[in-house]
Amino acid sequence: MPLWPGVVPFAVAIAVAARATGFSSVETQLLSLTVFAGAAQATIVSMTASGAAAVSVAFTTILLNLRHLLYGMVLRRLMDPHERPRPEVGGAVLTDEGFGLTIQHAREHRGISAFMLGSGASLYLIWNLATLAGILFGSALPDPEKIGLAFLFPLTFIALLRPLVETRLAVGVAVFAAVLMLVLTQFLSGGVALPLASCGAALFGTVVETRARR
Amino acid sequence: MSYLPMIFVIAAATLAARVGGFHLARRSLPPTFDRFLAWVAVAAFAALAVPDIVDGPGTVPGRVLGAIAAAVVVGRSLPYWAALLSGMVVFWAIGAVA
Repeated sequence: MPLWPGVVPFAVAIAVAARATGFSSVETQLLSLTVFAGAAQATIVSMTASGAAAVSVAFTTILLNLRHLLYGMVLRRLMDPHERPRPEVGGAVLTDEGFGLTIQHAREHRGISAFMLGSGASLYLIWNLATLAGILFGSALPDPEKIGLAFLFPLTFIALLRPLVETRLAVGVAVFAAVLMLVLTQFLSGGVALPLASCGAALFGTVVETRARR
Repeated sequence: MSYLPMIFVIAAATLAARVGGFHLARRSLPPTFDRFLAWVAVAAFAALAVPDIVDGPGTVPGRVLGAIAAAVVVGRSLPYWAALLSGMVVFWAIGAVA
């Protein structure tokens, strides 16, 4: 719920863009029901709008979503071995935002799996309702892009990032990721650049931390 | 043209990635990989946020100061919605005077 304001305009904007690109109402809603990943859905719509082949769109989007594999690994390592509900249940609706909230929750609480499922289900519900609103009332709503609501997307990640950067090395990893992402997007699509920048910066942090421990 | 096959392929791969990570991490992993995983969140969120701050809607000062405002609010243990609201207010205010 704390991140609802950040996801609603994004879902509406993607739904409006998808309809304008040629996705039917059913396909637009199915994107949110089955893919349920804002950055991926935005990539699908923008690549399709620019005339990319379906295979290319799928390949780029799947690469982009590979980070979820790492998210699941991170959260599983923080959980008790026999947590209920099973982590895979909540993992099925895990998003970037849900991952960030669950990481925060794990710092102070037990029962990570239940929290992950609750936050994921909450975001799933509001994301799909906002998509439906975009489909039904998109033409009547103010364009989220024109009033700058697209800025809520990076703001959401800044808000999730800030509590995680409490050491100099954490700041270094964040800066490294940012610079690497900016460099890579000069040559690669965002879908390819994001997992590379994320893994590259995490590797940077690992190497520096490992050397410091010796 | 139907986009349904593409949507279902992407959805299946995304679900596999979402669920697969939990299965993979059940095995014992080298300590170095555990340290790598500890940095994933910082790295991913920074990589997700920065491109739209450097090149996004509105003005560069508005986006940068809006991002700083949101970070300051969260840093003071205020709720996420307050961070998003303060970031947008600063972003709009700078955009209005620019």
